[in-house]
Amino acid sequence: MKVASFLAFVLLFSVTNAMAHHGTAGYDMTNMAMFAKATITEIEWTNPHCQIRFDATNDKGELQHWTLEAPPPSMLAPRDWVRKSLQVGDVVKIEFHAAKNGSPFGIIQRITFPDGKILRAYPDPAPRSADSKAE
Amino acid sequence: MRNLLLNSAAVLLGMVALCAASEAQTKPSANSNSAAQGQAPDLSGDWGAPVGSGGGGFIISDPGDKKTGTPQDDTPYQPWALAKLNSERPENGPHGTFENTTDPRLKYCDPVGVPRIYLVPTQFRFVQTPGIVYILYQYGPTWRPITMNHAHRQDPDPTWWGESVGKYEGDTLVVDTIGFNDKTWLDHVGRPHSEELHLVERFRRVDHDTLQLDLLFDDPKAYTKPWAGRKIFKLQHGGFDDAYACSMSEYEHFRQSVVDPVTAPKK
Repeated sequence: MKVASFLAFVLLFSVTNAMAHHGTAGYDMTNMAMFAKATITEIEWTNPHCQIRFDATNDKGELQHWTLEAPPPSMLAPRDWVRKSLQVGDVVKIEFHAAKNGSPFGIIQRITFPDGKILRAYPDPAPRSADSKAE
Repeated sequence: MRNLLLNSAAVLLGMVALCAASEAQTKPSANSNSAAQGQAPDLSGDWGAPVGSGGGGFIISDPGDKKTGTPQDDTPYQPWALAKLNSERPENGPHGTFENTTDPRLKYCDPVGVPRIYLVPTQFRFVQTPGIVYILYQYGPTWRPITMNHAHRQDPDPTWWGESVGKYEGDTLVVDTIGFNDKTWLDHVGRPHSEELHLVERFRRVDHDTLQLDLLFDDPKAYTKPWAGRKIFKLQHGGFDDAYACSMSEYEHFRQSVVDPVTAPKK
């Protein structure tokens, strides 16, 4: 199983919560987290929320196993997702809102493929300001 | 003989005219002046929440945000209804919590009823036939028959979806529903209603891509006076055939695999 070779867990900028999405109380909706290279390990295409699991390496070089919730298939379909849009083994850039309790869980925002194709799970939030990057 | 022929022709022409008028009355027209011409307004298409609205929102709001759960909430609750609202543990809203929810949709996969189904981030479409308009909902999936130009039965038995009758008023489909049971929430934050709820939905296609739903809640047992709500829907392109079926096994799996870890105390 391929592993993300380096971390980019970045707090890109503070964002307004454009996702008035149900059940987001457990997530930090004001900040966006990101891994530049996340290796997809599992996709659950199911209600009430699809689940996307991936491996990535944090800034300490530690391999982490993450689980992100995504909208249900009925909401993803109009946004050009299909069950096979994401495959196990894909290495993608993934942006999400992380769980407040520090667990490796989050709610997905969007995925960017190596060819530049973007799959949005939710509309892009409106950025408020730029914070420092960490590499 | 000549008179017979003339009379027969007149009868035939009359029948043709009657059929044409009937067809014009029942066949939806894309013409924006269809209402003025006595035709049913065209409500065709798949309708869903606008992009960026979060899929549907938590409450039916209008005019303005009723700020449910805050001191600024101006919904005219009866005391018991406000107490019941405050006792709920919804997943959404100012007091939303994942834990020990009382939401019947999440606990039991109970039917969400009307108008809460418009808050679930899914689509719906109308099938307009002469005597009945069907509203098909992606969530469930389920459907409601709206018997057109017909009176309610006397004291219908309470059901999850109530008994709906409808009519066209110009460019608006008016749906009048009574006979609800009291088991559903009006919205995602837990507003209650009683079996006396009399709900009026007014659907109007504002422009080709926009459908406006105005609601009137008349439930004297739960609210001191009628109050209004509104939802705006946009024409959707794709996805309607992906039904959203409520499954307790899937909810339980999601709770164990995501909700429980996310809501665990911070280490």
